[in-house]
Parts: sequence; structure tokens; C-alpha cells
Amino acid sequence: MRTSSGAFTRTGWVTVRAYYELGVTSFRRHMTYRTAALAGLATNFFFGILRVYMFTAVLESGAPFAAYTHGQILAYTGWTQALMATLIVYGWFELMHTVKSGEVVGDLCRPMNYFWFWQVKDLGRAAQATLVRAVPLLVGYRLMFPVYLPGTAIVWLAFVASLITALFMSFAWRFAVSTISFWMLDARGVMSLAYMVSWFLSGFFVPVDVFPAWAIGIVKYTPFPYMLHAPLQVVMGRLAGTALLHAMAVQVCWLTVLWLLCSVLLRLGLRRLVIQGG
Amino acid sequence: MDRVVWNVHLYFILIGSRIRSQLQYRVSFMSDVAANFVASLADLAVLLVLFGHTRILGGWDVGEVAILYGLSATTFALAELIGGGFDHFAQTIRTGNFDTLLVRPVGVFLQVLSCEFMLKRLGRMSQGLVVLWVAFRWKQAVLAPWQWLMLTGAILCGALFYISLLLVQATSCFWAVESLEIFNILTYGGHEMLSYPMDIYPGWLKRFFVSFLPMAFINYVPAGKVLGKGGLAGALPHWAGWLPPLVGVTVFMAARAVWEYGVRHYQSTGS
Repeated sequence: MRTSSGAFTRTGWVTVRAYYELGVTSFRRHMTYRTAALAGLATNFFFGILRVYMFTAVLESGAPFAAYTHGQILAYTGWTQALMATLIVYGWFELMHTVKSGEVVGDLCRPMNYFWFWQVKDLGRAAQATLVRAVPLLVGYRLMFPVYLPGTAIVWLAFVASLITALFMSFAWRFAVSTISFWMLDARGVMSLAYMVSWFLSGFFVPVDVFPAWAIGIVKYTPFPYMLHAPLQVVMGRLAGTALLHAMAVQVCWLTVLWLLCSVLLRLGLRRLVIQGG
Repeated sequence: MDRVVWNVHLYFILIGSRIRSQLQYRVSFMSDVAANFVASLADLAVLLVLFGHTRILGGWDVGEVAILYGLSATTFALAELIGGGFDHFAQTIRTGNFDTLLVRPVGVFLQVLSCEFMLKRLGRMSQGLVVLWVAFRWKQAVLAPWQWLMLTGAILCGALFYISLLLVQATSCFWAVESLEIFNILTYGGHEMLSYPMDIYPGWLKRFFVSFLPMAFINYVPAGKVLGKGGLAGALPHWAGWLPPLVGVTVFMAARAVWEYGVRHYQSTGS
């Protein structure tokens, strides 16, 4: 064990090490569910195929459809299906369950920041999902359909940076929603509603720029399009130059706002928390 | 015969208790129903957004696709409402609770069927029915008795079809212990697929869901016949619209046989 290393003290290193190990353990834990991952992959793929033909039918009708090309729409359906598990757009209830079972006490007693404890675990989970769900799906997709792929490394880099920011945003949003369980005994219904809203408005079902104009006018002032729609626009080659830089700056701003929201909600929620179980 | 009457009576007593227990927590029940209603709104919103860009999809207009969607949502929700016990069967196996069911003097099928009655699915179901009503109003269609009968048959027998799929999925738990989620492709995927006209799908997909697993007959074909559509639905003879009862019952009998086979070969999970 290093005793001191530059600016880091020994305790600093131990802390970093603890978070790192937590993330890796979470990754390994998720890796053990192989059949579930395979089934999830197959289901995502099948839905992807259905969505391909749904959008193709719209393009074949001759509609301009926000100037999407066939290759871009294929890329859109592929990436959304691939990232579904990574971003768990459909909802995350793990924290809620610990409140219900009373395990939350143990987690709060850890010598770790409660938010980052969950964030690191989520990163491990996201890494597993990307490896076993997203990558194979995209490879299969690319073999089956002429998916549009960006040609330059800089676009790929911008996409990855934007996607990682989106991943942090998505977690902060899920954490904020999960704090509802500090106030409500059975928060599942309300949380599902919140997730449904973010799922749709992040542009998972249809790209945000094909929403009716009035809806775009409202949605663009929410963080949701920056959780999925924005990075996908980058990888579809529809967002570049200053517009891209602007979008990424807005992403960072929203991430900061969400982090602040989480810390306020956590502080208020812990005052209301009633420990269950015995 | 007495046995059948007794079983039906017992079923209603048991689900009555499930319903009362769900109504105990009123706020959480209402929010569950609301969430289920809104969750299904997303699919409807997709449909409306797409029709904001085009008037025709695969030869069907917005009202006609909405009818397909409404049928699909109602059918699937009905199946989940009734067949929830099979949907969550993996847990019964994993916890060893299935052994308890085996020693009771009532058939296990009835017990599993009645162990859950997911009232919250009423959210999706009511939404499907509302969409159907609005879509028929929009089409200004006045349904003849035979059309009512055909659509009702499609909904009820379609639900039976989905329950059969859930039953086969549950049976797989006897060997796999965990639920084989690959069946979600057929249940959730089938529901999604049937919300749009089959005409938009490629040949291999059509062939699979017409000839191999005849899901097209529980929704698309009857709807096509009632609306007098062309395309794949028009290519089939008129009596094909009356096939749902035959398809539903046949698939259900087959699923029941698979289930009975599974029960006979069940070996406890132990621990």
C-alpha cells in the first residue's frame, strides 16, 4: 500500500481504492447473471427490429420526418435499444428497496458518501450492461442493417464524452427520483411515473426533434433531451461544430443542477426517513 | 361437474381476497393504476407522433392503427390481469413455495392462477378500451353485430393466447429455476408488434407470426376483416377473422399439456 503519493494522503488513497473496489464488485456481481443478460439482449434486439420497420414505414410514406435518412433512423433504433440497459431508462428501484427493507441504515453508516456509494455501484452496473448488452447488440445490428456510423475519430470522442455525461445525468435523475421513497412507504407507482416521463422526453421512443413543435418548445428547457437525445444526435452526425459544443455545455450545466438537487433532496429526505424492519 | 363449479367458486373466493388486499393501500394502489395508465400512454404518444408526419402507415390510417393498438393493449392487459400468477411463477419455485401448493387438496393450476390478480393492469386495459372507443368514433363506424362479436372474440381469445405463453414460460421454471425471459419476446414483443399493421413488417416476420406462431390471428386479421382492409389481411379468406377462438383454445390446450408435464417432472429446489 502506498503511504503517500503526491497530493494524496494515505486516507485519500484508501478512499479512492474503496470506491474503485465497490465499482468492480458491482460489475462482477452483474456479470454473473448471464442468462438474464442474454434474454435481455434478445428482447432488445427483437424490439429493435420492430422499430426499424415502424420508422421505415414512416420514411417510405414520403414524410420529411425532420430530415432523418434511413441510415440515421437505423442508427437511432440501434443505439436506443443498445443503451436501454446501460442507462436503465425504464426505471431503477434498487435504492427504494433498501429503504423498504431497512438496509438503508447500514448503507448510511458506511464511511462513504451516500450518493457516491450508489453512483459507483451504478457505474459498475453500467459497464457490465454496455459490455454484454450494448456492444453485442450494435455489432449484430450493424451486420443486419446498413446503420449510419460516424467517420471521424473526433465525432466518436465527442459522442463518448457526451454519453458519459448523459450517464451521470441519468444516475443523478434516478437518485433524485429514488429519494421519494424517504417520504413514501410505497413509492413505486410515483417513481414509475417519473421514470416514464424521463424515458419518453429523453427521446427514447421517438427522437425529440420529431415531436410536435409545441412539445419541442417545452421539452428543450428540461434536462431530459440531454440524457439520451443529444449524444445520439452526435453519433448520427446531426450535431456538430458550435451546436455540439453548446449542447455539451448545457449537459454539464444540467448535471450540476441535478447534483445539487440530489444533495438537497437527500438532506431533506434523511430527516423524514423512517427505518423499516427490525 | 360439481368439481368444476366448486373450482370456479373457489377461484372467485381467492381472487376476491387478492382484490381486497390490493385495495388496502389506497394511495399506492391508485398511483400504481395511474402509472400503468401513463406507461401505456407512451406507446399511444409514439403512434400519434408518427401520424403527425404521415397520414398512412402500411396502408392503414391513424384511426385504424389506433384500433389495432387498442385491441392489443386491452388483450395484453387482460392476460396480465388474470395470469399474473404465472408471470411471477419463478419466485414461487425459487422460494420453494411450490411444494406447499402441491400438498394442498386443490389443483395446482387453480392455485397458481388465483395467487395473483393484478388490478393495476386495469390502468392499461381501460386505456386500450378508451382508445378503441375514440378510434371507432373517429372512423364514424357503426359496428354490425357480427363485427362486435369478431372483435370481442379477438380480445378474449387473444388474452387466452397470451396466458398460454405465460403458462409455458412458467413451466420452463421447473427446469431453469429462473424465469426464461426470452419469452418476453413473444409476450411483450408480440403485444408491441400487433399494435401496428403486419403489412409494415418483412416477409419472414409475417410468415412466422401467421404460420408458425399464429399471433396475427388474435388481432391483426380480425381487425382487418372488420375494417375491410386489403394487404395481408385482405389476402386471407373472410372466415380467417373467426379463427381467434380456435387459435386461442388450441394454444391454451397445448400450453396446459406442457404445464401438466412440467408439474409431473418437478423436483423441489431444496434449501
